[in-house]
Amino acid sequence: MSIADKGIKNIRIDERLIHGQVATMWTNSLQASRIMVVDDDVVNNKIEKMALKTAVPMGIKLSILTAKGAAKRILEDRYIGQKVFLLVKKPQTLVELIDYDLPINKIVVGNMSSREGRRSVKKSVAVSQDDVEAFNYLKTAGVQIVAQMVPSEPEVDFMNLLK
Amino acid sequence: MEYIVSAHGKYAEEMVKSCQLITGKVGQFHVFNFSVDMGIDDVVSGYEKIVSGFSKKEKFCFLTDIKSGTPSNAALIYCQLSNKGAVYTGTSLEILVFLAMGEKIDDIYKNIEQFTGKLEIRDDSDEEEEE
Repeated sequence: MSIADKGIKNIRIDERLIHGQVATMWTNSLQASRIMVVDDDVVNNKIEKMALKTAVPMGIKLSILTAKGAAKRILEDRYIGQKVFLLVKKPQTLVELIDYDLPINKIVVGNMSSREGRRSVKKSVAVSQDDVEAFNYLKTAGVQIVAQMVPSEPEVDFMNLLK
Repeated sequence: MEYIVSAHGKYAEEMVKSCQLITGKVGQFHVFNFSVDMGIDDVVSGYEKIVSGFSKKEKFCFLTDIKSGTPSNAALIYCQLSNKGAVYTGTSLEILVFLAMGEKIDDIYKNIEQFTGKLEIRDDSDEEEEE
């Protein structure tokens, strides 16, 4: 069974999680019924969770889960029939999900902010060496990795940007 | 529907630019920047110039910044003179984003209280989460 059959419509790396582009254009174009934030640190951060709950667009369900919890729930087929928009802050979380046997076949890279130790690979996407290794791991696992900031922009092959 | 976004200074231009940061490029927004050295006739003829670029069948409306301001007054005059178009004022980034998402303008204004004003903190436990 593919991840789409399990109700996961789109998987996106976006460090800012639920923000302008995500809450409006992405949620709308995917017709998402649920936003699932997967991040172990967010799960343990009351303030960040409050901000996410307040920011989620009206009528959209929200899950805030650890990688382990998300993989377990998805593999238990809890979201079949839903349109889940899965958000992570960093590629390492997707490596965890793959290691928990989630059949991820495609991911979209959105915003990854620039900071010390990261190099810019395109507008508003910067990666560290650790990120590059995580992306290589995902690629080797057969995941298609594209970069796309907003739905009206074309997808570009993300691995080409890392070269 | 085509939208003429018109406001004092560069508010219209910058608002459309900011909107496009969120939504990507939006073709239906046309900008008019009103500067204080313009007279109302200059603004009306500026609108004429923008509208002349539309096809005859195309519907359009004005999105202005503030009621009673010159961009808004000139838009009212233009609509009366040409017997076309409508004027909506109080334009914000949020309204532009909703329009870019394909929402109807009258629905946006009807539901404006749902997305403007004081944000109520939602910390309910009916969302799915782990501790």
